[in-house]
Amino acid sequence: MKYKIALVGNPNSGKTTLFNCLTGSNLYVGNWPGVTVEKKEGDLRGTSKDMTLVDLPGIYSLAPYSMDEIVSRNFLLDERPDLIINIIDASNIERNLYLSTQLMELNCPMVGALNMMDVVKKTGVEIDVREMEKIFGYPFIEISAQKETGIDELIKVVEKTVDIQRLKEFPQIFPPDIMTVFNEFDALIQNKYPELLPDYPRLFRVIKLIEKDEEVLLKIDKNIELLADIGIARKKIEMLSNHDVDSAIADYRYRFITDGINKATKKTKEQNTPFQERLDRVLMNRYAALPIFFFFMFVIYYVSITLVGEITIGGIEWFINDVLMVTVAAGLGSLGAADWIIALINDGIITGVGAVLTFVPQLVVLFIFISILEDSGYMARVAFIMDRIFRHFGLSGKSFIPMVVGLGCSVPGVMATRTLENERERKLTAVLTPFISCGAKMPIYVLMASVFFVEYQTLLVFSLYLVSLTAVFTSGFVLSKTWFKGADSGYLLEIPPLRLPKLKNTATQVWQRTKEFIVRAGTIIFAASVVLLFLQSFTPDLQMVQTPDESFLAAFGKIIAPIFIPLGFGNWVASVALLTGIAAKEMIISTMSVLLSGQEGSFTEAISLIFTPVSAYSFVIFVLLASPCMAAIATMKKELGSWRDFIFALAYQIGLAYTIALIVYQVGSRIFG
Amino acid sequence: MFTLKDLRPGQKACVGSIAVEGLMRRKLMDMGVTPGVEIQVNKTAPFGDPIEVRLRGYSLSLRRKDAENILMVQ
Repeated sequence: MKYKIALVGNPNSGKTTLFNCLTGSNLYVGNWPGVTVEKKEGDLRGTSKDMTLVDLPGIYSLAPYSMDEIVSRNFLLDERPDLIINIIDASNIERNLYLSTQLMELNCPMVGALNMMDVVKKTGVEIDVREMEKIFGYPFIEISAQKETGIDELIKVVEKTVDIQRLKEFPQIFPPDIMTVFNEFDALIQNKYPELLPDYPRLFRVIKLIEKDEEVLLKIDKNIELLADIGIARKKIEMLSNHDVDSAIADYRYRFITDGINKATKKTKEQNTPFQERLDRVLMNRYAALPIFFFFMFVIYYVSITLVGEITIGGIEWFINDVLMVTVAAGLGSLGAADWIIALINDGIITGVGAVLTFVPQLVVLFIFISILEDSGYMARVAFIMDRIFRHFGLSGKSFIPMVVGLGCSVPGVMATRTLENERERKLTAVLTPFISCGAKMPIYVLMASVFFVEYQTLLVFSLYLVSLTAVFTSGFVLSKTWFKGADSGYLLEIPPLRLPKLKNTATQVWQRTKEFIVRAGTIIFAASVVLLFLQSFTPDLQMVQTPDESFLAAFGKIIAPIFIPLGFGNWVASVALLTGIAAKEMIISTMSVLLSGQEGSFTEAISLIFTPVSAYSFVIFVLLASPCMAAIATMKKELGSWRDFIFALAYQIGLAYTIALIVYQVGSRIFG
Repeated sequence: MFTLKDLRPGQKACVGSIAVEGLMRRKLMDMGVTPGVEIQVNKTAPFGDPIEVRLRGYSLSLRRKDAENILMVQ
């Protein structure tokens, strides 16, 4: 029999790191059907039993506020895991255990993994795990997912606990008189409404009904008699606790936790202000915070685009053009291969794929920076700094996080909007995140900059990021007052402590992102390059072409090209490139380099023949703002849910891109000629 | 009567009650803002809003308009 183990914990408790520790190398990512978020699953390593570990989104409570919470809760209720590994950030133990008190009601075997014990021990705190087990009723193990300590012991305890059918005596979270109310209410449900939510664990069902939990209310379908019974139970609790029901239940949970921790933890020494806190004071200084943030962003783009670009691009191009292609031509030639095969490989595959791979070093550096921003805890701080600004534009500081993730790729960026509780803000952020330029679009800017704006490369690319931010803010402002109208849900955000990013984490993340980029170069772009070359080599009536202008592709490109004449790039090469760019943004460069490879002179010279500086700028603006690639479009559809919102989003993105590019070209060409 | 909004960075007080309804109320409670808990204001953002507070051993940020609804006692 295969055991199903759920990994549950607060956001930022080190869940993903622990997941990787527990599953080792046999990790696979599975997309789950329907509305569910990305849940990862993998086989638990180091055990003789067959156990699958499911990584659920990080949540603060089992209340259904955000999609992440709903997904986790539905999984726990519907899929009934055989055991829950509850990961707890021991350096923030009080708040983390709040979720644990709710998980305990699910009547499922549980093991507590007290994470970050290395940090806790340094601050002079000791936790007595035996005492914790006595108080909470399930075993705890001290671990450090980052240092990979305690993992084997955790697996052993999981193995042992998974066969225990039920929890020990349920601990006294609620005082006896409150428990009596719960039990009476439970008895009443079993008598009067035996059909009501029969699959829910009993205590969970009672508490959620009494709390008037929104999801549960939907399920009881306005049963007036039941609502009256709930009202009576609520009254009783209010009388007994002298608080309203919400405060009373939260308060009992927290009191139980505080008492428990006081018994089980011991402070052995006083700590002095750690370096992180002093650094935090500087980074978050009221006056310095914003300048520091913009300085960081500028440095990131200067280093990854200009500095790394200067060092690597020339070398890679030299390798591809002067070494690889020459060798391939000579090698295949000596084997007696036909000229057209050599041309196919050189002008199609190597040119198309090579044009994309040229930018790998710059992307690696960009991904390193983004990963450091994510791991260090700086991201939450920027959300904090930015909230005031974002609020004016119908967003919240939390909208910033999906957008920074979107700098790497729009797909995880749009997915990250799930942490926003407010439906309206969430949808709006999902529509705006693609305006943030993803990594795959960067090569296009860099190419155009290196051809037309040699002196001002960093400045040009930086200006594009300003354009994208302006698009985000003005669109946010307008759309939040029109299409996505509504109240804001408020903002409540945990600020995690600053942490030094771990080399291993950064390396894994950078590798995964880079790998995806390279894999796409080797698959989609490889295949598309071959197809493009064929379409470009034959005329519509299947004759070999003399010049690419006569080709099938050119004929097709010329049909759509007139649309882009007002924008300054109404040539068929640019039009075809934009079309293939829908498959993947890297295709834009590949396409242009394949289509122009037949021409005299280098690729950059060929580019400078079909664009002017002004039309090149208008082109990159269009690429920047127009709808993202297919994968991101599909993700957007999934997150928006409704077709109506989705079609609006696409129309808006394309319309805005067209309008801005039109203005840039029409105004620019009049000024600069 | 004073609220969390009235505290300056470095000052602390205990929560008396939460005078807001609905989602925000439950979220605040889940995050540990319950009657009796001690909260210290850490800092304010560049434009004076939101604020960062410390409670139950961790840092939480919230907007002034929500802080205004958290009634405090000494």
